[in-house]
Amino acid sequence: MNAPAPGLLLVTILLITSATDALAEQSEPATLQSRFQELVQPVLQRYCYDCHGEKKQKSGVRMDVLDGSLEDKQLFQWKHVLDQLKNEAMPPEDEDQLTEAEREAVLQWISQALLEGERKVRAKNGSVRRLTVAQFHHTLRDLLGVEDRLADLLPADGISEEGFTNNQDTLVLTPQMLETYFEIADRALDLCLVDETQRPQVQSFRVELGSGVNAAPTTDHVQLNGPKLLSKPDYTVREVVPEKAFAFEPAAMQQTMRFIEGYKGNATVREWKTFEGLYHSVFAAMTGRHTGGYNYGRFSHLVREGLLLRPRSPNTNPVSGPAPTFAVLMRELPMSGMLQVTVQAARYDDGFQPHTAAPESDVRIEVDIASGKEATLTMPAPGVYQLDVVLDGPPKDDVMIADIGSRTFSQRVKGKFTPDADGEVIVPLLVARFTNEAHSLKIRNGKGDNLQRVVITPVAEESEHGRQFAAFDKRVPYVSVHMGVRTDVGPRLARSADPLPVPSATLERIAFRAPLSSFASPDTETDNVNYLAGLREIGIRSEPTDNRQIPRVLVRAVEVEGPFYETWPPNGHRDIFFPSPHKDDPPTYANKVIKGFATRAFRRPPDEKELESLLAVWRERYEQTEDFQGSVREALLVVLTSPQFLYLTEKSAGPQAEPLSPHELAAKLSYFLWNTTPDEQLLSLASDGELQDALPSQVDRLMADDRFSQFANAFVSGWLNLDKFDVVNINRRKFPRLGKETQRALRQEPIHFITHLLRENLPLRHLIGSDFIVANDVVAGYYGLGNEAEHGLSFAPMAHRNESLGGILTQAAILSGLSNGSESNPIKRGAWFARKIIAEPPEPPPPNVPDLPEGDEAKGKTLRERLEMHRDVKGCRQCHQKIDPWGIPFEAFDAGGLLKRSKVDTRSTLPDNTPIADVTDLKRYLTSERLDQVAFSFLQHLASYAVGRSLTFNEMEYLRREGPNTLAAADYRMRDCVLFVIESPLFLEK
Amino acid sequence: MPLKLKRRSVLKGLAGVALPLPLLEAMGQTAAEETPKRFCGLYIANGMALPDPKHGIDEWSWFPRAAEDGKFVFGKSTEPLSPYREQLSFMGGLQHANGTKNDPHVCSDMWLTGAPLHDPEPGTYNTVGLDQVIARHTRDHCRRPSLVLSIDAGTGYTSRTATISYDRQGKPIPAENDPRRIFESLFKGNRGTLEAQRAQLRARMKLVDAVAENAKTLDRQLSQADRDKMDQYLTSLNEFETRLQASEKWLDIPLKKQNYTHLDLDATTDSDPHAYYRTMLDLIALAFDADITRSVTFMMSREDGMGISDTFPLKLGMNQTHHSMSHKKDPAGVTEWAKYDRFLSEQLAYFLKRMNEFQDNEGSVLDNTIVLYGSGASTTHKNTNLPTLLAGGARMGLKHGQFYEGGGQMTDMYLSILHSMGIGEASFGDSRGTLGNSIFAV
Repeated sequence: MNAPAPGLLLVTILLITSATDALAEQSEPATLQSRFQELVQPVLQRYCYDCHGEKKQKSGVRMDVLDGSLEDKQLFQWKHVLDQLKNEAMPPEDEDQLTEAEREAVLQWISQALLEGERKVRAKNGSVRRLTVAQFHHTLRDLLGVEDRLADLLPADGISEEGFTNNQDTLVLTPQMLETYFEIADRALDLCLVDETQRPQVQSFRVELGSGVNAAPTTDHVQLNGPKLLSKPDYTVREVVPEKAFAFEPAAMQQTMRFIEGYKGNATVREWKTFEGLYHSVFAAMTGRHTGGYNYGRFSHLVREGLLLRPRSPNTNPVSGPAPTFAVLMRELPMSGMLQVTVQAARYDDGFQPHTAAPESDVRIEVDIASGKEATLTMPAPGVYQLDVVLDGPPKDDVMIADIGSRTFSQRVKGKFTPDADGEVIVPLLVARFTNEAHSLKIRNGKGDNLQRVVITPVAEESEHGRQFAAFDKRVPYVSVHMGVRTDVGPRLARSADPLPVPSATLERIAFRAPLSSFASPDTETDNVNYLAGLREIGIRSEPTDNRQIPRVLVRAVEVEGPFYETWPPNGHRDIFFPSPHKDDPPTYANKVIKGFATRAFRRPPDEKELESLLAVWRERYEQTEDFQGSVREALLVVLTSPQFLYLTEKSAGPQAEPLSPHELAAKLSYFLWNTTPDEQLLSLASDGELQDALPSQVDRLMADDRFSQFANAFVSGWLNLDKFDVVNINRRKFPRLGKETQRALRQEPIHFITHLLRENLPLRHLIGSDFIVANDVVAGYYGLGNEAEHGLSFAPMAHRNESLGGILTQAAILSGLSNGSESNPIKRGAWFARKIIAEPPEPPPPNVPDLPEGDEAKGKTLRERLEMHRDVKGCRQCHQKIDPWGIPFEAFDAGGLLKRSKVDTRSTLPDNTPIADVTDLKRYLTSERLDQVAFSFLQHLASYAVGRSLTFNEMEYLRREGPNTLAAADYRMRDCVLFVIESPLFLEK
Repeated sequence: MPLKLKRRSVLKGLAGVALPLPLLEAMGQTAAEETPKRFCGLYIANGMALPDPKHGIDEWSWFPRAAEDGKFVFGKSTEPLSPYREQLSFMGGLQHANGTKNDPHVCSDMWLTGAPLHDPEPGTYNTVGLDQVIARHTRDHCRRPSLVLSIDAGTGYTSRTATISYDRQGKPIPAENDPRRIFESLFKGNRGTLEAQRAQLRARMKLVDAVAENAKTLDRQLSQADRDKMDQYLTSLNEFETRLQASEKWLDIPLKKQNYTHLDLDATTDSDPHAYYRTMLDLIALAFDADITRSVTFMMSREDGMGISDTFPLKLGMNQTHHSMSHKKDPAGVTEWAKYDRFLSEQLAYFLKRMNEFQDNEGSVLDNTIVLYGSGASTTHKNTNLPTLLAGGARMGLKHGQFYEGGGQMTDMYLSILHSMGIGEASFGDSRGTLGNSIFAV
């Protein structure tokens, strides 16, 4: 028999109960229990306890502990038992079966118990849960303006059964951690608070780049091992005084230094020497190899206007982090605060390199450049032209450079060039836009002695090269900044901020900011005596996407400023010590400052006792020291280490359900949808008692806010177990395209996809199948859709016209994360699917599970056959029947998450005996016949995340029943699902 | 101590149960009554001479030759250690699983951590070292959580570290190298620093009091069920407070009286290597004897020709620097290298002798200290079969006089060391379990 869908099951239960309504009315738990002992227990004892009793617990199931009471734990198990009996899955075929009468009696009792269980009023006691590490980080940042990742000093939070870190039962606190909270609070206040009476010290310098830009370069020997220093005439370093809206002290950099010269080869050179000048403090260097390898032409090319950068290879060295193209290295930097790196850059008016020479055309022009001589080039009209270079033999160098007017093109000309009948070779060089002015033209390639002429052909808009150029011409390069420490085995860098686009053809200032603590570490000692020790490095590059050609970035200058202050005093400080007419009256001002801060930190106004205890701390300290700020700081330290701050607390008067207080609601809402503290608007709505009525509009506002990404990241990562993709050990020989940076982009795909569905309020069926994906060019490129995507590094929806794509099930982050990095794994995928997508979690595997058969017995067997062999092992079958069928359709996808090349048998018979041909069929089946169940799984995970705990039995039943009632008619729209959870008693009551 | 009573009653009122203050009570007794369990890691850079068997100079191999009945024969380079045969064991075949994946030069950075330096967690470099895990567990019982010493001060150069200690964020802990400064900070704690420390501790305790006070206001507003959930917080607060009180108490407990007359505090890294090493090792032994700390690391030389230690062989009249020696493959070159190993063995022997002379209330200081001596590479740039020697710790169940050749992961041995010290960590770094051999009881 086919198992009924959950909806049907519910109907069945209701039918049974309505038939026995009279019984149900009078059946109190006590009666129910006596009937259990009388009617049910003897049956279970006879048919079940042998395998699921005290001695044996097959599949981890133990029945003899069921005593007929209505505890949630037992109810969940009864539900499972009901399914087993109804599906006739238990007892197994080869065991004694229940008589019809026994079956009927047991089924009836279970149904009644479940109904009772759902009606039963559960004690509600609010909740007390600690902020997660992520929430704590976001909260400190929002309260104090401190970006440093201080919260990382704490150990990672545990993960709940549902996959989340914000579960009150997995959030522990140890004395060690509490001590760390004190340490973090101390450091956070150090970073936030300043002495307003002092002018801040700001260090700032500018490195300007361009060939010959430095007319009077230093004559000193500047040494640097590893990276290649820029030649001294090609850059200048000077200290600059940034423009600020407040007074500050420029911090002069060290100009005279004494070092032991360094070390040569394997031996230290121990000889003191004095070095003078900024050129020993700041270095400009190219890093890595400069030609060949990835993409087209040189990674970098120095021209008069600056440095041209092409995207670097996306494959990064795992030791040193991402490979930058250009780096500024420096000796001196402040140790704390923010650092601002400003890159003055423009998108270069570039050309792309075509794969083929221009077709024959009667409008072409030829310019003689024999032996590399300079020529003049004038186009007949402004427009797009292709330049092909004719040589009398293969190119002499794998880079060909064309200086045309004020522009320089550098292209890679590696490959096989077969001379034609005349002994000539044609190199397709570039397609670019030209004016009709006269341009000087010089082609460089090796000695240039075999250059003959340049053939110039107009490129029609609708031609292939015309279309390619149009796409190329719209592309926007991204620059990124990486910071780290230089070691003699290379830099150790980490990306410090998200890459930023360079859309403008004229120079613009693009600013990156990151906390200095992200790379200032004690291994950069100021008193190290080695000339080369402790250098810090800021690497800059043009970010790669996939292999597409992108216009180069022209970098004119890099400016470094630190500590960077936007305002003085900084906003975080000013939010605490706000301007006030009471500044001269310490007790009044202290009261206002401390109350204000405690209100923000506690997410509600402190009550009188709390405020008094904080003021007492201030008063005592102030009376001793007369240091106003120092004494207030003590009170703030108490705030930041108090349970009122560290825990999200819902106060509860008793076990009956009560509505949340307005401030509790504000906090619950913002930690749900923002993963951080409520903002002023939420708090003031709460104070005015208007939040409850404003819920729909506030949910809209919270979801539109940037902070919603913090929800999306935490929720989606937890629900879909994306951490598996973080730790999967990708076999890079097998999946060379799945480099670290591609992996990083793919990791973001499910998060952006679900964010899109939620924000656009799209129907939930898109989770399973959608005719679009949400991708950036890296992700699109990975799926082979590179030609259709033009979004650079930002994620945007795009049509895929590809049966295997769309929805979350076939996203690479999921499929690859559920593999071992080399081979796909239908069991992992099946178990994940059952748990996450249809909320039918399989039992945990028993101890000592045998592996899939290998060796002789498995010889010549397909994976499917090996799975079947494994399933036939006694004790494995029961569970695997509920796992493997869901995983097998995904066998079409490899461990990299893409379709396998070979034909794979993906036919599967689902646990309810529905035959499925492949993933497409599975998706169709889910969206047409099992949508309620998918929606239930989503709602269950969402609600569990929203309330920060596992759901009770009746809450689950509430979702199962009310979910479809409320949401199904409008196709389970995703934002509506969020609002449904928020407006449910499960969220609103404590 | 009236303060203690007051706090205790506050916390009792809060959590509804009287919380024991075992640590503080232990503190009330003289600290020496409990026998300390200690750890000392001594690092030698560049590996040890292991001659190619075909040259027929096996007697110069750092690893001993196995003999019958599980006994072994000391080689010439470790012969100075022979008086301590029953207090030490050679560990053969050990390696870090991540070692072979790394740039071989960074072996000193990972010696005590085993971290995947080739593929670190984003934004990190290293992971916590063995000595710092131990320090976290022993710091409550002594004045300083750990002592981090090195031939060169500071942290050196990432990848050519000057310290072998990494904190729980994997950041290097700067090392000290000046005997006089170390002596003064350990044994002559001046009054000013002491008072500053006391003031800081007092301030912190005040803060904890205030937090407890504040928590109490919240607790009153919670129902009984919620109050139970708060227990974890209050218990943690209580333990933290106890620790602070313990720290303060140290300031008042007089230091053990010791004889310092033999110390040559003018020894510097520029002077005679003998004198320098002996003074540093003396300082460690004295610090252990006075129970100032229970976790010490001493990086005795640095990798790849960095630092002054590289020139020590020259100062001893040899022809090569330490790192150059370690690149030698010819019999004469390897023999000279082994002679330098012998010099280092003499220093270790001196240290073991000193540690034997000091007595704890039960056993010698050496019996209560696990000494780990070795290199992060066997010979140049080879990250397998790390030369490793364990000494001491008899009272922690270590059975010595063995040449263990079973191999395994260094981190497994580190877990064995932790367990021997009664530190119940489930794992260490990439450990797969304890080493499970005849040396450790656990």
